Amino acid sequence: MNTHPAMQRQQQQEPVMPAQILVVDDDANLREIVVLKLQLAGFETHAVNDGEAGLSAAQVRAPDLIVLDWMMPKMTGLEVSRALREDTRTSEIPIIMLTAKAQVDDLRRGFDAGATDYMVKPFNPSELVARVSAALTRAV
Amino acid sequence: MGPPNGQRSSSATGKGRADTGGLNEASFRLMVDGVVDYAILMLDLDGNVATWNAGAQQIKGYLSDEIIGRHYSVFCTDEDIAAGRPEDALRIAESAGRFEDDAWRVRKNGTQFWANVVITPMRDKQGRLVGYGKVTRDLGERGAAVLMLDVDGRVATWNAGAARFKGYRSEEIIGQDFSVFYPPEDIAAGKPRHELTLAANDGHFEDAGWRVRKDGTQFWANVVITALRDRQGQLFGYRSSTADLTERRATELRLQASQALVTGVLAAATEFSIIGTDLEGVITVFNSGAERMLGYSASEMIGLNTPALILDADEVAARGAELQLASAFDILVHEARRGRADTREWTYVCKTGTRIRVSLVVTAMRDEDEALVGYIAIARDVTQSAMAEAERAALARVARAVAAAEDVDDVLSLVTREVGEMHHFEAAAIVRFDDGLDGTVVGAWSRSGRLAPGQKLSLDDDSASALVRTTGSVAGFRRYCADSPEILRSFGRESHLIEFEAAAPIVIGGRTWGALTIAASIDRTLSWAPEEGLVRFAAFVSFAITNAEQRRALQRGRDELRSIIDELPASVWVCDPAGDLLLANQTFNEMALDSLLAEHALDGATLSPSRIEETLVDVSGRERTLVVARSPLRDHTGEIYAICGVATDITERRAIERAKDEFVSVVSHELRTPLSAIRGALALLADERDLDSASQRRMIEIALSSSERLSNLINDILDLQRIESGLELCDLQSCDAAALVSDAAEAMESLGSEHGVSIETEAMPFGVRADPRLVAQVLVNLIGNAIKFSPVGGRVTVGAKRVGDEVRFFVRDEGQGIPADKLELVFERFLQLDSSDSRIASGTGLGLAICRQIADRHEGRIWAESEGGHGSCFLFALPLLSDDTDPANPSATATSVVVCGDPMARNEIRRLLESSGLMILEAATLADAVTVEEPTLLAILVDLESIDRESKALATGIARPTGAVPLIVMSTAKRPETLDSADEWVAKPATSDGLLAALGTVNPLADTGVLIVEDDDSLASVLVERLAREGFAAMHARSGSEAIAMATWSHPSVLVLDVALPAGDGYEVVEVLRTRNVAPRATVIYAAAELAREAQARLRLGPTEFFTKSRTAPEQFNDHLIGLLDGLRSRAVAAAPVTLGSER
Repeated sequence: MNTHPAMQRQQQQEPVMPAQILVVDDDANLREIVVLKLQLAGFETHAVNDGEAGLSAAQVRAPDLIVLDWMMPKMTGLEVSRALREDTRTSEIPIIMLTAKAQVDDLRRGFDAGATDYMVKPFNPSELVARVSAALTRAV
Repeated sequence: MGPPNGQRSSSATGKGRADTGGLNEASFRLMVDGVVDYAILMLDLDGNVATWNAGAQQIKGYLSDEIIGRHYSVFCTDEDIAAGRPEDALRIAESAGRFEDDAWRVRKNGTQFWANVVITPMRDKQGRLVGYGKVTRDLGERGAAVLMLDVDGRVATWNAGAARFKGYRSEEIIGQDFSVFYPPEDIAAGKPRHELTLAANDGHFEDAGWRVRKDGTQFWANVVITALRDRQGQLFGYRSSTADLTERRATELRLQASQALVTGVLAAATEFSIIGTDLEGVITVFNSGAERMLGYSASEMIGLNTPALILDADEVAARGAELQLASAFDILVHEARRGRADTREWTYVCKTGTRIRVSLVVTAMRDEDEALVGYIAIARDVTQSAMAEAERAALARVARAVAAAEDVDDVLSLVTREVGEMHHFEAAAIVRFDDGLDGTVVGAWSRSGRLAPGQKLSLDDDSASALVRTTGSVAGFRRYCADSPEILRSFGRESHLIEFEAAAPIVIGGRTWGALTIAASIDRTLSWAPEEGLVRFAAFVSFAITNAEQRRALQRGRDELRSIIDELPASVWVCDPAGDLLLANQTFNEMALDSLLAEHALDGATLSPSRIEETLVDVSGRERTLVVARSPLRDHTGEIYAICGVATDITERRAIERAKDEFVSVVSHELRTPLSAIRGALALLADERDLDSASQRRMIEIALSSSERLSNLINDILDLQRIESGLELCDLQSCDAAALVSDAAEAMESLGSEHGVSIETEAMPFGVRADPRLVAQVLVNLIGNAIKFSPVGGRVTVGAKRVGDEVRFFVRDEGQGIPADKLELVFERFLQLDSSDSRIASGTGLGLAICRQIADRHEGRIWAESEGGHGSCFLFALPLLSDDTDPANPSATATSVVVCGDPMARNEIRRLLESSGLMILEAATLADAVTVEEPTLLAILVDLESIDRESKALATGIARPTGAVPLIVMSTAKRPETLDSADEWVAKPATSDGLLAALGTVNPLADTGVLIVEDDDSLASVLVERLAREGFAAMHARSGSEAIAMATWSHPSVLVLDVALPAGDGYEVVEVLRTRNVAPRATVIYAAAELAREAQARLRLGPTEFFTKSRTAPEQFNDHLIGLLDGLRSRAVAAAPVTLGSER
């Protein structure tokens, strides 16, 4: 099991190196809020505004976790998630789906596509931080 | 026995005297013939029999033809003949003037009888002897006692005959007074003396009476006392001859009694008609029963020989044919004559003409010698039973017809025929009572054939029908002389002698519906009252009519039900438990749902009503979702005899539900996004107490802008919903397009300047019918979009121009434009082309969808045009407000263009416009072109580089030089920013499509005609012709390319499109026309084959309908097309929403 170096650092001597979170959302306002909240919680963030950009950023930056919107232009969150899971470089990165799609069926589809966790908009930013932390811990 | 001496007498017995002077021969003969107690005959000079009477026949037994001519001595005994007594008698009679004798005589059968004979000579007027009259009286078989009395009445002589007769011996009686022979009461009455006195006075006395024998017994005697006088005339005694007639007397009494009996019977038998005839048929008896039955009196009939008078001629003829006899009498007595009893039914015809059915017994009458003497016909009236039998039979036939539910008119005509013929009436009719006093004959039969159903009657007369109408009960009466009412006249009587009429009410539903009426020319009630029968027949009539009405009502109900279930959008069927179809409605047949029936085989599932959802593939290969309800139909025993099914196609409903779900899901997503931002921002502010002030401000900004977006979104969704659902009323009014444009521009001025974008207007005043608020909303929306997508310093142009019969609002920007494949998509809801563009992201995604809804509500169109990268233009077209706008006026077809330029340019243009269907006229100069007078002129095309200077100057001047005709300029020069004189500018080298598009833009009559795209010329010409007849202009394109070209310049109002075409199929035509924004108000696809859903989607161009040639015949299609055009034409004025029918 190759534990993520960032997480090891975080656990051993925190805060040594903050975990890096990739935020993918096409809504600028929401993106800004998520980024601000995560930064305040001590994470490093990188934000992009569509699915395609999200996929390439994930592949290039290999973030510790991805907060992923579903309904976006160019590539949907589901498509991005599936692509990430198929790529060995990114297949292990935890993904938290953050979406307005609130049906139970949507939830199932999200998990099927490879999501680690699922959050429905509107959401509580603190809960997001809690879930992000939990997902990072589990990933270790 | 010798003749008495010197007999001279003025005796009253001289009735044979030949003195016939004063009496005519016939009367005398009749009198003689009628005498039966005496044989009265005439002898010729030789003593041969010359005449013979009934008495002679009776006494002597000879018939006249066997005795006339024979000598009268055959009546005498052999001893008398041997003694020459017959000759002596004649001689004495001649000489003495009279011969009288009592003697034995011989009958034909050889028996002897005691007779009194008187022979008298007969002389003519000159006194010449011509013969003798002979009168013979039968005094019985026992002979007579002849004795002499003296003057005082004492017995003077006695003989053996007297002794035998009276029982006295000679010595006992001689000298006794003759009164001992008389009964005591006669003696007491002085009768013996009185008789002697009479004999003395008259010379002769004859008497019949009781006499007494010696032993006291009495006998009936014939006594003749003759006075005897000497030559001096001195009375010297009497001769008394007494014959014992006791036996004859008894016989006579018996006969009298029997005759009295017969007479009594004849008189009393009033119920029987008894008619007697002689051998020749002459009527001899006609009793009171006959008088009563036949209406003739005995005195009229006796002596007549006319049996045919009282018999039905047809019956007699029929029986005659059987017997091969012609004479009615012979036919009648045929059996009786042969000694056979003959009883059969005949029809008697009364004096009044009435027919009576009788049972007739004809018997032969014979005398004691069994000789035929005549016939007797005894008739009993059996009319009652015959009529009743005929009525029963007729009723049975009527009942059968009614029960067989035959056509009601046939039944009514049968009833009248049966009723009429049954009793030999003249006519029978069924009259329906109409309003007022009118009646209508609904069933009729008449001998004359003049009465027919449908005849109108007036019932204000005194007819039986009228009586039934008033009283509601059966009526019957005779009329012997009346002004015949209409109905009776029509019975075929020339005279007004309708003597009998009866009618019975026909009651239906408690109401007197009409009457069954008969008319007869004779009074039939004599022996039969037809009213009772009529009532029975009337009951059947009412039954038949009620039945027919119920059957009609049932059929109507069925028809109604049938049309109702046929009209149902759901499939309805009934099948038997085996799955065989019993009934199916039209929808079922159209959808070909037979596969559903297989499941009907009786199983547990079908025992109770069920309702399940099934998916199946229909005839056109489309998947349909059906809700199928099945329920068993049970008979009265509870057994299932059929299954009823109803299938509702919920495919569309499901599609709508899906679309709605999708919309709700999208809306929910769209709402959640700004809400998330608000909540996130506020939560952050709440949770993070150490947040720096810049971040705080930012979060508040985000919350604010997101809540604004949220509220815009909610407003737009509500707007869209209101307009879509029709809650937002479209308040159409006349408005000025230019004013709408400038108001909208003004409203957006500040937003423009915020973005550094200028707004310009170019609008001419046009009247439009529109809701100004909604149009303003569209314009504001479009201007808002244009501002958003314009670069800083850019320019947005808002305007309105007239194209054909519509006003086109446009909003043009100088932004980056819209890709061609997205031009239509931008009107979809929540479509985001590229959300990385913050300008797009700032919108709600519903603005253009709302604009399209508003355009639809106005019967207008909205679309976008964009030359990639050079800005875009949104156009919003509304019908021009104009009284004389006729969207389908054939005379307004613009089908020609004038081409202006040098010959080479003109040829080039001609080539480009080839197969466009346009007529091309040519002119060298613009001045020439303007003078072309062509009512169908669409535009003038000017090739700017190949015309003279003057034309060029005109073409590029300030005002349009072509008057009302649009001008299109073709030039190598760049299109000027504004077109002043020209309506369109086409860059050279021009393409065919470019030219056609330009023509389409300027075409003043765009959107008016019908373009029929059809490669079958004959079908197309039928369509074009029919449309022309209905006043619609139609053009015909034979191929795909032709269709594209023609549609591009003509912008048809309705496009009729076949799918399989040469040079480009229907799909290609639609595809190209879509990119050219040729949007007919309706497109009608008339394809050879059923089209799949995908194929239909590809063929949609504006509101589109689909028809299949195999299912919709050209005539039907044509009718539908005309209906559609009529609808569009009327909507051009009324602005009602477009609804299209669908193929049935």
